[in-house]
Amino acid sequence: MKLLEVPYREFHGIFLPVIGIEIGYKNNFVPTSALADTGATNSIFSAGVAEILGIDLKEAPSTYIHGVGGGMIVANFHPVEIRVAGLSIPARVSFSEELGIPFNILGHEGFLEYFKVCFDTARKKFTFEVE
Amino acid sequence: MANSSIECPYHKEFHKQDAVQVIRELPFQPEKHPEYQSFGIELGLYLCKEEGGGYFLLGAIGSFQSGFVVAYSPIPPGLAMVIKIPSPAGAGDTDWQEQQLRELERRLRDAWKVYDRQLWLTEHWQEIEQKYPGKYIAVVAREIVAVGNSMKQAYQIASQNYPIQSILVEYVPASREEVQIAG
Repeated sequence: MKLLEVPYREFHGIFLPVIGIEIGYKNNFVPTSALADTGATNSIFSAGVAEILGIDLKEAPSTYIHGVGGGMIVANFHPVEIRVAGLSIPARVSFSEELGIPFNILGHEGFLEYFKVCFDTARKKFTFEVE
Repeated sequence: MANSSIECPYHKEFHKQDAVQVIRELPFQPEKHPEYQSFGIELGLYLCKEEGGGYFLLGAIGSFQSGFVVAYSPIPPGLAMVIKIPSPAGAGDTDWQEQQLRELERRLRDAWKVYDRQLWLTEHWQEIEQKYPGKYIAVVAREIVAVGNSMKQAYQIASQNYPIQSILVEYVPASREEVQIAG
């Protein structure tokens, strides 16, 4: 069943699959957007999103996450709920002050694993389906 | 209604006439976009029978006109919610029906707002890049309501003026180099 078809967004001439979602904690939901990244094992969000949600990252377990080139950043994992296209997904995501890129990332664990995603980069759109 | 189809679970097309019972139907009316109603958008709850027995309620939004679902359509195509029920009797409770329909409507409306705002941003992103490079923008519905040097600042300014609205804060990359990622 096709849930959603989303056009790529053009950033300075580069088209990327960015999707709008809502992320929530304790019934407080905020909209945000994130890059659907098949190369990411986990989802990671800017620490600013956690701040708006009222999540205290000092209380969340921290970990190191590998980036491109072997660099590592510190991130804190926290359970949240992600809403997209009317579906609610309980997920454990990470937040980091050191994201270093201008996007939140939606990776496999806790997000992409629930969907069949088709990236049609030739047509600058991507679709989400569920079984 | 030969073209009245939406996709449903189990990889089949759902036709309204295939439903055991049409529980409720409503026109879906996204705020501020009455023009979309001309496309025949409907929101409905349908009692359906599974092949192996058993029943489910399909809550769906769809356009019942052929050819509407296109790549850049502002309507999430085929958006649907499934409620499994033990028997059709469960669908006979009108209070329960109403509750399910309202919940479906709320979810769809929320999903619609998120989707609509993202489409608007995507459509206007080049203009936004030129106006606010390196800034954080706060967006309510289809309007940029605050600009800041940090996510927190943009959110705080916006929330003072729109305390009960859903506020999206986005960073606007200043250059192509910022978005060149290998990962």
